[in-house]
Amino acid sequence: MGQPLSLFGTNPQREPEYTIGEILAYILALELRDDDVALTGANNMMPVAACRLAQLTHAPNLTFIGGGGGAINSLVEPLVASSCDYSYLAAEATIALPDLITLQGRPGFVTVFFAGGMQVDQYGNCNLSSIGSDWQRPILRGPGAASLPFMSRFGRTIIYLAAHTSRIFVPKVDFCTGPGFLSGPEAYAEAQVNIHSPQGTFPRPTPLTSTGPVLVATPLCLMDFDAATKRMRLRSLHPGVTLEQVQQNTGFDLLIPTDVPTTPIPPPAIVRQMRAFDTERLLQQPPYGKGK
Amino acid sequence: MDTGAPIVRRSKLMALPDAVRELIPNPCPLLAVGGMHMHNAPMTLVREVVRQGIHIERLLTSPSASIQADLLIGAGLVDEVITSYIGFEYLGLAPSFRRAVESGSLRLIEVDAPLISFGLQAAAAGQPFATLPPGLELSDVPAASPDFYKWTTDPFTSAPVLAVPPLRPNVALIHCQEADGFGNALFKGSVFTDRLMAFAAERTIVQVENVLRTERLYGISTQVAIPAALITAVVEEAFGCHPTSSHRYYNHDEQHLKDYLRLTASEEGMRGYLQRYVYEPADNREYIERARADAPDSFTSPSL
Repeated sequence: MGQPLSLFGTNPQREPEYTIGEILAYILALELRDDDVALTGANNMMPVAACRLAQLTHAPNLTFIGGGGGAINSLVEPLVASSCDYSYLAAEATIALPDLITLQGRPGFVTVFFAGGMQVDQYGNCNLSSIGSDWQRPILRGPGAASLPFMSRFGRTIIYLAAHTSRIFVPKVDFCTGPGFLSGPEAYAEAQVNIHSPQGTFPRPTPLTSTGPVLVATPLCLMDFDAATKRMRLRSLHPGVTLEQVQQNTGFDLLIPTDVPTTPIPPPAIVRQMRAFDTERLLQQPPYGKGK
Repeated sequence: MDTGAPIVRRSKLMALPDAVRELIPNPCPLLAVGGMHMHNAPMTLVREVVRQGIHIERLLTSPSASIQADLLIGAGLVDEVITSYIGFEYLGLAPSFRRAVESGSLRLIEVDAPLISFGLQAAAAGQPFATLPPGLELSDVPAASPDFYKWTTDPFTSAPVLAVPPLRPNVALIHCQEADGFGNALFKGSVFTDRLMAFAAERTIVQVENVLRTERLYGISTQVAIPAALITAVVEEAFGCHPTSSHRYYNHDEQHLKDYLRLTASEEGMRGYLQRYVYEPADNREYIERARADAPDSFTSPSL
């Protein structure tokens, strides 16, 4: 009873200025452009927050698809954990899942795709299927592909992960569920020229606009891909994270540019905008909970 | 034509045990289960399949399944599964599916979402196969399941193209929120691939929260997603999707699902779960009473 009561009701359990989850949602939002069509899959709380934030800040014409429920431009008030939750249907349109899968094949329709995996390698290939050298008898069986193989056709792929460890970031995925830059520039170039011919002898009838993975966002840092080598490269470190910390938790040699900036943190007004729809504070909970 | 007999349309309403016993062959060559992630899973039908011990030679899931597949696999009823995802999304991996694949006791036909959707569509339309958009072959999935992805030649361009087979389930088990007694069925939320499963399957059993009188449909016929001619039987069971959600009716029971993941982390634990939640309850009502007693606060309704 020693403290005087504030007339303005200051919350005694002060909220953090920002959390890792809020940094990542902010960064992902900055990657989104007006007129993008963004597709999210399972476990999509983070990218959905980014899409909604982008619509509210700089990309009012962004279209985002909330997952297998087929909801388009959901209000997400509040943000929810499950991608097919009924609450997503507070949306401007909803299409049936077979129609959504059809449109995933439509050339040029999905311009941004959010991906993830149990393993991600230095060329941005994602594994959501199986860990171990023998697919028949895996060490760890994951959930499976869903629509991850469409990575080869979607515009820009943004990879987001809830953890950053050397078990996730491996030199080569044990199983390529979602194709990134394959085994490197030569293989990727060949696939681009002739995406549907394993022999490489036929012209490609449907040009695609896929640019492959463009960003990898983790609780430690942001990474992108070197244009020439297609190898993963450090882009920025989150506040308080060291280069050594990232290298120790990455199972391959990450390209390190001479100048590594600190990841920008969301301004207070942006954090308020996020919390206005993240009323359940999912972006503050594990594994995204740590912040300042 | 007047034989003097009354002209009455045949009702498709069936009691849960009868529908499962009479309509699903045992063994069943190809059984499809609907629902997506932790939503609209036909759980009361799935639990009855376990209770009756129906042997499933091949199980086909929607593009993303959770407990509706994991429970059947954990009960030891499934020889082979065609799936593109079995997991619990933000809650974790599927314990029984993992165990069965890692130990080699379950044969996995790993596929992607378009194989399931286009394969069902091909079966529904009577097409001999469907083809995939170029690019999907860059994933390792097609090579892992060579019996389900075959190269053929595009007759228009002579380019190679990946073909996938039609998927024609003997029986599809799906959930709709409402239907009339003849099987005209409505979704009150997302449709997922459940409508397509009914279009493709030889027989479809739909479980519903509520049975409507047909007269109620005349003003809202555009909302009927599946016409009665495609439905074999209608089973009415309140809370039939528990612990998954039924869109608009109730949310997924997160506590029960977390308990499921914890309890079934071992084979012995799975047996205990099946005993407590599948074999012991006499019917769906008893199951729901037991689940509600265990986690009374986690039965919630959507606020939309």
